[in-house]
Amino acid sequence: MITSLAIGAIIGFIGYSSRFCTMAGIRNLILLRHKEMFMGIIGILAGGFIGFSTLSLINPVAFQNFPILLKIKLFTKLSKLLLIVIGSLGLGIISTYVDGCPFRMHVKAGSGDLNSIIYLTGFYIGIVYFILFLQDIVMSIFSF
Amino acid sequence: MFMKIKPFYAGILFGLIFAFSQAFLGYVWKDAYAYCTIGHPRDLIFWLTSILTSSKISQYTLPLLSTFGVILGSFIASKVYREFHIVKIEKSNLFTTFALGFAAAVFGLFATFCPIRLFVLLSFGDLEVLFGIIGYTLGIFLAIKLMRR
Repeated sequence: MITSLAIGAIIGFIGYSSRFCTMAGIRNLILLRHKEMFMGIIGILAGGFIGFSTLSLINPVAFQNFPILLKIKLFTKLSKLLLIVIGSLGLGIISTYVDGCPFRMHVKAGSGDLNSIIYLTGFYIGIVYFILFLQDIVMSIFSF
Repeated sequence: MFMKIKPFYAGILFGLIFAFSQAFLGYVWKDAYAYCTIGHPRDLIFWLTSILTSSKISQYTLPLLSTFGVILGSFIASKVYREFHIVKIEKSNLFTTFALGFAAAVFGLFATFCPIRLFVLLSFGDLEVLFGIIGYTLGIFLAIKLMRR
């Protein structure tokens, strides 16, 4: 619990000082042909791959299904893929409208942007609402 | 005092931190789950509801405070760089911002990952997530087209 807070603080510090945002990376590439922010996404892919592959040699217990693409888990259910596509489409649209992916909105909230605090209030209420009321409905619709 | 970091190096640092925390800090019950803007508050709320209703707590439903840690970390960073300033609320957009946050949470829980974990999962080797990246890029593209009108 405390470690998660500490890791979050480190990530938040780096996120503030680099203005890292996944949405801005793709948007700037499409709209302005700026590559700098998009390199952040390349960086997270590269860093994750290097980290996962080297540390899975040191501590293989924690990475039981590391290269998932070698296991059979791939393309399990059509409904899950549909949920992923719908969810990420919505996330993309909303992130562009509010000018920041959810991570960036947390960083903005920490640096004193009251608009993003309003956004986050809606965000957390949305999570509570989904768990309490929508989860069973969605699971019953997307159960094919 | 501190140098600003380029996004590329920040991304590499993020990836290494996520891998490190999965290897040594015990975030092992899901793949690449060291940080998730959607999943960690959801687990926190699961934990709270299971306490309030005094039902059986799952072994892995821990209160994960990383999202609040991010707010704390960026607050510290903005104080360190002496850039902390309060941006006032735009009263005309108050409800829209709130509703968009609500919708973002619902869509995020549809997909069960936040954009950051989307890319971390891809580096973890999960090819299902490619559909998520296609959807995310398409969503951004659509929103740009809609906003230009």
